[in-house]
Amino acid sequence: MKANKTIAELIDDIRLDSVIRIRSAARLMTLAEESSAKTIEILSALSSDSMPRIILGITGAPGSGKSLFTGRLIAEFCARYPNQMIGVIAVDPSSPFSGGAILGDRIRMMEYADSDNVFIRSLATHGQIGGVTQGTRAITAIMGALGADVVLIETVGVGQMEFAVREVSDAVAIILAPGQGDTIQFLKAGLMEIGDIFVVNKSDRPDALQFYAQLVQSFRITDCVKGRIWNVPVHMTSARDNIGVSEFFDSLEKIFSVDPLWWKAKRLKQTEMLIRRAIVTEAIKQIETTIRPGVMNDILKRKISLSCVVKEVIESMQ
Amino acid sequence: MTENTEKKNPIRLLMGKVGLDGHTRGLWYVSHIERDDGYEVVSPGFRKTPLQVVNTAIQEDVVAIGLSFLSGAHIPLTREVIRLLKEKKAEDILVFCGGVIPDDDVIALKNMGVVEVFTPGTRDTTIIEKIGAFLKDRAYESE
Repeated sequence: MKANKTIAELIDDIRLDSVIRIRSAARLMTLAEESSAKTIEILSALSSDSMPRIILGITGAPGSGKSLFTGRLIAEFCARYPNQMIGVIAVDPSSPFSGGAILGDRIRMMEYADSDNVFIRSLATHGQIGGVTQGTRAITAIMGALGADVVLIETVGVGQMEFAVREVSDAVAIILAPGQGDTIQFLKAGLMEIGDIFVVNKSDRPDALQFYAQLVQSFRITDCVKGRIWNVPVHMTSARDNIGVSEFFDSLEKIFSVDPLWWKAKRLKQTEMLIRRAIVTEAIKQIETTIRPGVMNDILKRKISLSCVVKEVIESMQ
Repeated sequence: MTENTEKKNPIRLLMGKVGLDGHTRGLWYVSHIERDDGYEVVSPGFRKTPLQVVNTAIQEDVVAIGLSFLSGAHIPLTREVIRLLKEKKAEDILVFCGGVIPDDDVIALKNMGVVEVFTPGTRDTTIIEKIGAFLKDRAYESE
């Protein structure tokens, strides 16, 4: 395959009925990750293609079982819809030192690598915080253009404050596991507030039921249904033993059947936010080039005020 | 650190094992030194079929596939990986091998189109250097 195909050429390719379309889609995903300008270019070019019916974010602490749970969801999807396609975006961290990464989420999902109906893409964070990457929305759209009915976005293992996944997915599933704290953890602001559907994984462990009870109890206090049009479900699952995954999928389908227009509006808002952010990112890149090299020291030595420099920079761009 | 993090995103490699072979020490070690040199290493794990590896390589848009062997089945399995890459119009993805591979087979693999074979005792610095070299050659060719 030609190495330097343009975005337009690659998009033409993915509409072909040929073995090359998967290859071109994958190349397009690489470009989507390169800059926010390319992300937006791809999103716009695909704006009339169908998006996936369900985009589910899957997040939670490292080691809570996100990858294996995602693998089980793929299996459940393939069993329910044998002729439909599912896309998976799996994010792992980049090294802060070398910039390299080991992308190993796939290992838990390889059962379906023979199938043309499963498209899995691993991404590295490239130093971005929030648990997902910049090109995620465009990659979801590419999967949609390939015909994906459902896209799962598995984040890096997160702490209490990484929740960018809610900006690129319809609903967010939070995967918890026993041993990760008590009620006060559930009451804290942050991650727990963004969950649309909760999973207590590792239900095979003896302390799982107690953990589940504490979680459900805390929801009575926090009124976590705020802003949502459904009751937030909590599922006990064991990804290891493949227990509770089917019930989770039922819940998921139910959430999405409540009000399709509501979901559509949510997506539109997200896309607008993404484009707004891309404008700011590109603007900052240009502003950076106009900052005089010595000006930082001048501010420090009080030769000029910060607000004067800001004014100067904005004026120089006009 | 090589220059590959300066421009665009890191180069992506796939590192895996095909066939019934669970000796992963070498695979993980080489994956790790590649990571430390700034590559993104996609790992499909071990005991995979050639088709699983090739599908993964295509979906992940890697530039090269590294295959590790201790089973003795390196010739037929590598041949199948290369055949599938051609079938799926992805023959520009390079293939390199490593592991316990006899000298004669190293020649046979290279005749098949394998760009490099790393046998036991190869120093980590040599591996990184040679990977960098064949990726550079490829970049020139595609321009």
